[in-house]
Amino acid sequence: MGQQSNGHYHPLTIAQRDIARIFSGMGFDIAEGPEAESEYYNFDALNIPADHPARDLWDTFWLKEATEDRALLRTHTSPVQIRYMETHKPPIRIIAPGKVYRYEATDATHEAQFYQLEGLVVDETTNLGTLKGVLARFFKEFFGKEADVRLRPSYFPFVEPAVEVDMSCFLCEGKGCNVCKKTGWIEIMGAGMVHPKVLLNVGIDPRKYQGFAFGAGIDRLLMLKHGITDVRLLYTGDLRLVNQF
Amino acid sequence: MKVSYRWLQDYIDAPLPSAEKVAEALTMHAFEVETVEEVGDDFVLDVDVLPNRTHDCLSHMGIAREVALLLDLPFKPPVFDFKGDPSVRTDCAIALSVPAEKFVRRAVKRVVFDVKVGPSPEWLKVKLETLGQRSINNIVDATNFVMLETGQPVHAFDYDKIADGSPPSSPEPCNIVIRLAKEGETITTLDTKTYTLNPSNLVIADSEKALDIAGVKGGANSAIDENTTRVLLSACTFHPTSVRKTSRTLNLLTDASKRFEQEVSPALAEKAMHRLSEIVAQVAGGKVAGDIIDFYPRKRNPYVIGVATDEVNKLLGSKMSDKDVETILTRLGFEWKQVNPVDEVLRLAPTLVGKPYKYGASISYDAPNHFDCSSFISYLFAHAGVAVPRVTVDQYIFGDEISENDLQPGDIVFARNNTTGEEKEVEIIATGEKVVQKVEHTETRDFMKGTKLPVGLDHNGIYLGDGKIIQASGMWHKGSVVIEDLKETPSFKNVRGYRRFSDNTPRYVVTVPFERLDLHAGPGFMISGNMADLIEEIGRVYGYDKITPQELPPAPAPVLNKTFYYTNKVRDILVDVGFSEVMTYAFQEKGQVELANPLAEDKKYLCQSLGAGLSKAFEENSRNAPLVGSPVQIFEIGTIFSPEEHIELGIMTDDKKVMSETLAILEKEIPGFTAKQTEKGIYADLSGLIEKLPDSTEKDLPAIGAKGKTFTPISAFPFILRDIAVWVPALVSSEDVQKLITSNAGGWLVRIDQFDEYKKEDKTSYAFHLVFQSNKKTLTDDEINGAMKNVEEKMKGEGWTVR
Repeated sequence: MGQQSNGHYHPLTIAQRDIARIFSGMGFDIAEGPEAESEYYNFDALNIPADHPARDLWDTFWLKEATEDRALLRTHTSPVQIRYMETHKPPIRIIAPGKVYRYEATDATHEAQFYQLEGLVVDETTNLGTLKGVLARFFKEFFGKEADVRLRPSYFPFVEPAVEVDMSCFLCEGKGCNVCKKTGWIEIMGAGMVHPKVLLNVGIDPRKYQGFAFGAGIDRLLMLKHGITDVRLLYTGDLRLVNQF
Repeated sequence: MKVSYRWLQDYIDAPLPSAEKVAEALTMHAFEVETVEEVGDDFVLDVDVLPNRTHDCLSHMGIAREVALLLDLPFKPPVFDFKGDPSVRTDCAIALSVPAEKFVRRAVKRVVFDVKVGPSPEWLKVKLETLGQRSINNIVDATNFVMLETGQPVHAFDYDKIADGSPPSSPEPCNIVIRLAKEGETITTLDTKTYTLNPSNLVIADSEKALDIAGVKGGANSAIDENTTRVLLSACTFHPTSVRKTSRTLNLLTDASKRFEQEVSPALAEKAMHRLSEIVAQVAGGKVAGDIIDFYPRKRNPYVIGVATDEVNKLLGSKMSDKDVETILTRLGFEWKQVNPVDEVLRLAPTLVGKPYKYGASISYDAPNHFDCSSFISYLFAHAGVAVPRVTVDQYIFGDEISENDLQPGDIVFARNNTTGEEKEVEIIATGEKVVQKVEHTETRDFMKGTKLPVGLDHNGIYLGDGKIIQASGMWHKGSVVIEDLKETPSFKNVRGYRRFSDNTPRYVVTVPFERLDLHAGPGFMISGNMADLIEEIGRVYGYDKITPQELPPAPAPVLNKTFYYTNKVRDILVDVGFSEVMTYAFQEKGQVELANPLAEDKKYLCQSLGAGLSKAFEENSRNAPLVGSPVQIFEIGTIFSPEEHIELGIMTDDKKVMSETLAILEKEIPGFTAKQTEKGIYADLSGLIEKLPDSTEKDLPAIGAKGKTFTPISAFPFILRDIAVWVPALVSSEDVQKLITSNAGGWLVRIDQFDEYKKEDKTSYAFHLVFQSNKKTLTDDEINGAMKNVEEKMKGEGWTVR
């Protein structure tokens, strides 16, 4: 219950500021880029060529009057990483939070627009071990409880090795509950070591430098943290949601 | 893919642990197993085979190989060697021609005569039905079995339905043609649908008609039925892009097309044909032809990837020993050896003397029989476990620069021969054919693409020591791989530099098995395979759980990103004044940038102003004003497309006074802030503003948001309003009154707002709006009256006077 008081920030803003603060503490900068992107930055530079089944992994909104510079709505914030690497030499530590778009039917857990968080570290030695370390620290500070990080094999064209990242369930602490479907683990994001092709595409020598990248839905992180069950509530402009934060 | 546990056991020579344990091993080290279901006395695992492993693992054999690898059990693949009956000859029965050679990597055909079509034996029916597939007849079931077992789609045609299907004694074989369809050509498929084709679709045809949409679906006109006595078995490998295009344009997705579009290895076609022959003979009787027709024009060399244990540990963050790596490579079934790279290059190079020169020779298809100068070098180093780029200029930029004095055996010497700077025509010594030899580029092609050299290069070779050099010599000189004197040969009169690719530290050289199409070539120096792919293989078998989390070296917090800093500064100002932030939809009914594939008619445009979304939100929130507070004051910072993309700020409220006060604060706090005021709200171009502002110097923002909030679901039921006003002694505060109300109004009180305060000397009057709502039902007046009565009683008990 509340009475008329100061205004409220949108919970996604609160989450993004929280995330920015956590990563800033690890020396990460924030990078940004356009939401309407070129096919090159959204796909080709990320080792996702046209006419390849890999494109099916993303359902894309295309612009009617597409040009070389602007053909679609970005399906992830990975293009921001490419743009950043083209203009900055390693060592690199960035997060790229931003709005992304997927051509998907909407329901309680799917929206056509949502906020994604991607992270990138490129230097001479960073590896899956530091990926685990960075994510463990992020989960602890964001969810407020110590969390174990588990990696499983996966596939994304722009990382090799590619992994799914599971976090130990912060609600039941690994004992099993509804949120973690009784397994004790929550599947939370994808990640991996940046593919040498991607590094070559931006003029970084993969023999000298290596990096990891990860990507998660901020909406999902938020919903997990606060028990919000319907993602659509975040975009209706309904103060009955916003005022709770 | 649905996989039968019992079927997997067929290929593993030791008892499998429980289905759950098998599923767990796969999930943690290979592919996620979504469900394990009991079906009869078997278990069906739903395996989410990763998109880059469909070529070897959309098959029971492939998954069994993975399971055997991960559980360290012996893998027992089927035997692929079926000897037929020499009295039946495929090459007398059919004549295969492949005009569409560009799209057909391999075509394997074999006939079987005197078969008896009927129901399948029990074992075959069970295998298919456990996976939810229908048993059709023994021949068709055999083809489905082989696909599910090996991952190779195979097909059986009724031989007598093929045009010119002739008796065994006739000397004329039927024509089978794999060609592009003709414009408007039609075919009716097995499920009686008719498709109209065009020249971008590949078909298998006889001399009259199309029999099969290649790689996608078979035709009804050659289908197996109960009268079939002679069959033509077919196992082909089609180009993935061609099948994918056809499948998409005809809107026809099948188990076969799914596999082909992700690429199938050509080596599988022959194996599958043997297996199919064996199963058909077993279940339908008949005589399998002694010979196989095999169209296989270009056989690729295996990829060869080099790696060192240090490199594995560096990428993964693991602590593996040489022994760990070797054990895993062996378990993976990869052929490997350990070499000293430079020694290996020097050992292999002379064995290739005499091989003819071919400009632009491919390492995959022309080596080791033809080379050009740089493919020779790239090939040799790949076989020594060192990946180097394909073309001369790239190799020059890639290698470590060394001086002439430091030149050692194994180093590369670069030269420039074509000094005219013009393209010149050369004659191939072997054939007399004339080819245009381009002037070498002065810019790298794949490695660090676009790196420029001051002067071009067009030739290189490997120094052998003792003043000798080995090179694939151009057609204008020797035209083959030769060893010559470095100072004497005309090929190196104009040396441009020396490079070293590797030291002699031992490395593993791993040969990629034919079925692992995911461990394939890349651009730049990955022309013979990508080391990161191989390290992933080693890592997943080793187990990512063994990698310990490490911290990044500490680094100072950077200065805040400018956009992030200023947009949040605006937010802080607005929230402080009492505005709440909303986020609305980017897709609107009107706009300047249109989507080609909108989700709905009224979501066709990208929003050109935040006004549309804000108005809608404003209306809804106004309806809920008692719940959310009055006046409604909202803002949004979001991207708009007008048609340029930029960030806009939109502020909306009914209260004109608040609006102008807020505008004044913004103009004061943020230099250069301007906004346009419309009837409904104010809008500012933040992108334009931020561009003009100086970079931020802050490293963090003010902290916001309380921790540990749990979201209360929004009720779908209507709310009820009540007001209450009460006189209290002067010392009693508003908070005290509110506390009494909230403690006694019951659980349905969701909001309390003070709207009046009136002080007299010894007493004060406070008035409150109360909002009641349940998230389980619609409340009644009676229920609320009861709650109000409770509050009033408590107030009277305190000696307060309810008004």
